[in-house]
Amino acid sequence: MATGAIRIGLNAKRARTAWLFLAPSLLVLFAVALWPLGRTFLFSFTDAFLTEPDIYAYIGLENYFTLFEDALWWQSVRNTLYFTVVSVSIETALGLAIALLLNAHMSGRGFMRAVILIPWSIPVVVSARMWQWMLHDQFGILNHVLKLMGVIDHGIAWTANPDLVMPVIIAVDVWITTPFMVLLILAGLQMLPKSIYEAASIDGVSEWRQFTALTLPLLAPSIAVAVLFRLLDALRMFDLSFVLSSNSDDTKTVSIYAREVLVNFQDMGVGSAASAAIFLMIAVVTAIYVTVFRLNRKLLGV
Amino acid sequence: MSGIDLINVVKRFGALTVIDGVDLAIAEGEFVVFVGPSGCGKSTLLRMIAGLEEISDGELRIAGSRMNETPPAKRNIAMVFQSYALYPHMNVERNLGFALETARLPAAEIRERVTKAAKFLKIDHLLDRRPAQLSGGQQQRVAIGRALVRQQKLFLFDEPLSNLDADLRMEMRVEIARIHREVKATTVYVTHDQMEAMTLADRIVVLKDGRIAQVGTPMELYERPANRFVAGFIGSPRMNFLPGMLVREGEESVLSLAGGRHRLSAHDYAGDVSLGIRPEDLILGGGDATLEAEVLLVEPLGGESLVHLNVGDGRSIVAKAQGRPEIRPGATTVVGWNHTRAHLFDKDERALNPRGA
Repeated sequence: MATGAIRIGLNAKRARTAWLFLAPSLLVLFAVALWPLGRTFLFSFTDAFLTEPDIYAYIGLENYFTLFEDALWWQSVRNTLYFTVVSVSIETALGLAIALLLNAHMSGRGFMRAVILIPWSIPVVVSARMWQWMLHDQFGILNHVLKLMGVIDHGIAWTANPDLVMPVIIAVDVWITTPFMVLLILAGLQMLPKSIYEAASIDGVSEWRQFTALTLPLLAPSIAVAVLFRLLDALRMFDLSFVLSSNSDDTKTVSIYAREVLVNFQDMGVGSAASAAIFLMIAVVTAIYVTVFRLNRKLLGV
Repeated sequence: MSGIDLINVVKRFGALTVIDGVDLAIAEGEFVVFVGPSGCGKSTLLRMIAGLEEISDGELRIAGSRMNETPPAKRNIAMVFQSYALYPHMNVERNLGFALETARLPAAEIRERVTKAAKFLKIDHLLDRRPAQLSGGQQQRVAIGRALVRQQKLFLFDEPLSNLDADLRMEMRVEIARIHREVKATTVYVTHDQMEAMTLADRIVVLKDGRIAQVGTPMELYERPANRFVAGFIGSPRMNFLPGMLVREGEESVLSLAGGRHRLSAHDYAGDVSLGIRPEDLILGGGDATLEAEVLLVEPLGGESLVHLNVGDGRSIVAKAQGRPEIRPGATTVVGWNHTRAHLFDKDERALNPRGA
């Protein structure tokens, strides 16, 4: 049929144009993401060293055996997962609470919304340095204030004490990234239709039940996306831990571990194996998260 | 008893007065429609009755008790919103039952009431669907059903049909009339559509700029509009207005129009007036009083036609004629009316009546 032929012609033309527009970004993506990733996987099966990366031989899965036999690798995996779960949980709860507060009609809301973004807008390394100074055991303002208040007699070595350093890093991360959560959840909150709350208040639905039965389920998709972003970020956390406690095994994340093997020990093979393992770990966690959330949505009927 | 009394009710937003002293008594079981152009305050007034807007001044009584400070949940009302305000993540059944669930009614009773309302509104086959899977008309039925299951004595409707297309609007109008007949709840209904107001209301409240322009039965408003605003607002196509002058001559008043002088029974008022005649009261070729007119356009509507006429000075009026009159644009004709069907308004736009009437 003539009309059918024309439509197919048009669609094919549209598809060609689309590919044309996509080509540059696909090219760049290939060059900066796919190619290095492929190389990393490739090197993870070799005995290459950073001093002479061109001379290598394939040694199969040996690097992975080395990696998985290293207790320090497993400790950094544990550290990373612990950091991720605790920091993202606190940030989500806090972010939700602050977003609800900012969504309420109160004066100075616009100002508060701008102010709250400051921690998020500072580069992480700068924030980390700043906190490092504030947490300093002799000259830090935190110890100074605590001493003035009479809470402590002598300065606490916040980032040197193995029991304190992880909570401290989590606290700083919460300080930095809660604004991000607030922003995403607030955007979700502002999309909720106001009239359903009016209907609910006429129908005698209490504020708390409005929150649990209306706000939370309707907000779930927004929260889920925000959590996913934070999850990916937290799993490859490097800078905060590196600046605040670079040598401590108690806060070593998988990213720091990979860098250490690659740069300090110059071992490209094991370093690449670690990087590949991190990639797979993040992929698996993301896949599980997305699947569970989708199932949940089905069960909840969101 | 579930009547509503509004006593000199005022609503201010900052310096802006939106409702400017409204007095109204709504009887139990009555169907009252608030009508008016956008911005006249009709929705605000309804929301004040619902408790969604605070009352700045005056008093609201429901069933005789002051309600100004009572939260919406305690006013024993059910409300249907223009946007339907359905809970998007719940299916129809839960939407209908949510308020009852919250009120901790036994599950069996909830199911019974939901099923009954769903059957009544012919949505019982949709109970598993989500609002997004329903058409506008179906969503509207669910919204009404959600109000019905609560079995309140007082129903509030905020422009419930304005998001529907013309056919559905008519269907739902009939449906709402049926519900009122069977449930007998006191109903306050807001609309900007005078047709909805005319067909549904026991009494219509016409609002303008936050004040009541007139209250009355649909036919009272149609036959005896108290002012030019109500005269123009009620009736479609709207009433024609012609400027004129009223002078006393002995025991009579004389109305001078651009096209001639007409003797009327005595009025107390003399001065500038406007003469209002509804299109359906204009007679082509006859009447107590007549004007020469040029035919501008004939719009056939099937059973009747709208004839647009130029009566001089570039003033055009519309006449409604039965069938399709044998006149062509450009032709000159005579248009007339009977004095009993004419309305006069003084320069303050108030309706004028002959002395003693």
